[in-house]
Amino acid sequence: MHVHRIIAAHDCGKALNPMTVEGQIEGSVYMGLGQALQEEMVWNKGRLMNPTLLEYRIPSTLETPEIESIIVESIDPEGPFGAKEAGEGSLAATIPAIANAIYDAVGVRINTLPITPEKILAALREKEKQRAGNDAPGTNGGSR
Amino acid sequence: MTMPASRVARPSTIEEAVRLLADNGPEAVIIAGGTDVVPNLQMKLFAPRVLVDIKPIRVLQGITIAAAGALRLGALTTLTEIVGSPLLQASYPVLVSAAATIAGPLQRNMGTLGGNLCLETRCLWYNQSHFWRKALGGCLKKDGDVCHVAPGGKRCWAAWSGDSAPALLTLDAEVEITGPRGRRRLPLAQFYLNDGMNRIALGRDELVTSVYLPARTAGRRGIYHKLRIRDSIDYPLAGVAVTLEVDRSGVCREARVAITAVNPAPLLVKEASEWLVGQRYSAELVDRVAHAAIRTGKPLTTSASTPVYRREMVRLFARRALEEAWKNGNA
Ligand SMILES: Cc1cc2nc3c(=O)[nH]c(=O)nc-3n(C[C@H](O)[C@H](O)[C@H](O)COP(=O)(O)OP(=O)(O)OC[C@H]3O[C@@H](n4cnc5c(N)ncnc54)[C@H](O)[C@@H]3O)c2cc1C
Repeated sequence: MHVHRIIAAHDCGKALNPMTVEGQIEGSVYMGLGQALQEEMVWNKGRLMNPTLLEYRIPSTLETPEIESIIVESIDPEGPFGAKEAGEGSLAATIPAIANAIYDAVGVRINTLPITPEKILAALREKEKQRAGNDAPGTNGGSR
Repeated sequence: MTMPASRVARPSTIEEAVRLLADNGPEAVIIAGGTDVVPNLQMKLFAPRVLVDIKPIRVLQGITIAAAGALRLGALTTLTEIVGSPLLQASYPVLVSAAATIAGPLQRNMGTLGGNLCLETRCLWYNQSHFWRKALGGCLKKDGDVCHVAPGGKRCWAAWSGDSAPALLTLDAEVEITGPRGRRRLPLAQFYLNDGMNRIALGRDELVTSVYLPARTAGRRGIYHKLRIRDSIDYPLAGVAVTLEVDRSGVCREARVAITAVNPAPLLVKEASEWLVGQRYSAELVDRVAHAAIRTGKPLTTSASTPVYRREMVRLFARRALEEAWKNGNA
């Protein structure tokens, strides 16, 4: 599974320092990417099984795609000089964007994170099974 | 995480190293590139009195032509050297393919072939900090008497997690071991004991000095496929190495399939040569061998990935690697 490109637009009110805003967007997208596909704290009876960065896997440069940042300026009358925020806003959007891209590519919805190849494979098999069941004579089909 | 205090001895000859090992017995640990030893020391998995640093031993370095056209790789040959060697790229591509997947560039610069073949076995319950293990009460492999992977069992299932060994198995490689009684050579397949606690057939007073690649396996098509979450850094969760010799008419003359990271040893899939030699490519045949690969592998919950998925991938990789090697030569 490879994410090829991420385009992220973020409304920051007014970009007081555009380069920093872009950096914030890229960083947020990167965090979202990790949460969407790889990062997970694995617990066993209250014990954290992957407490180091070897097994808690943040994306390496090889998994990090080209990120295109688009700064949207809406000029917030309440904010300082029209600014709002450039914190982790783009993080939240990255996760559903990736989930949707996966749905677009292979037609399965995964509703738990991280979205691993293993989960996708299981969902594809499940879908196949349902389709086979629906096609079988004598049954009157599923909901989809 | 601090390192336990140990003395570092830096022998400059093999004899001196052997003497240090013999004199210090279980109190000595060999260190080559240190990329496996150092993290393990930091986790206090062992606390040797003496670290025998073999890096100053010049004769353990480099790739040379040996008797009968065999290739000798010194134990200190780095993984980066292997990946970059035009000789290996041309003659033993499966080894280059496997070495290129090991860890990341930093570890490959430091890490040696000898160290990769003598790697500690790995397990989710073992490769943890001292604090973590103490809270648990240890495991069979270290400070305890319970295996958390297979409770009730008296066998340690920590997984062999090296990438070069399966490739070398498909090349009929031999390891040369040197100890107080001199040198001996062993087929690599006999070097691994398939026991998570007692992983290799190496005495306390011995070290691996060379690896020999026979002339007869030079030029074999070969590919290594590895399951990992990231394309760098990660140890294998499963791995399959394949070598084939296919004649002009498309008939298989020699075949080896080896798997890693799904048992306490890297293992050859016995049925592969038996079933493939003398045959032409067919999807059905390749599928049958891939199934044999699954039966050879016994992945357990030694890592965060599930055994079910790792088994699936062993089958997929075996099928894919055989197909690629058969159809495209060295893909
Ligand atoms: C983040 C990270 C990721 C890694 N990923 C991978 C991976 O994907 N695949 C993989 O295969 N490895 C991986 N490794 C492990 C390691 O980097 C490699 O296996 C490397 O080849 C080890 O070589 P070294 O020279 O550094 O070994 P060392 O750490 O020096 O030694 C390893 C073991 O071998 C023994 N030893 C070393 N040389 C000899 C010798 N000549 N004779 C007898 N015993 C000897 C040591 O006593 C020790 O037990 C990873 C390590 C790290 C830190």
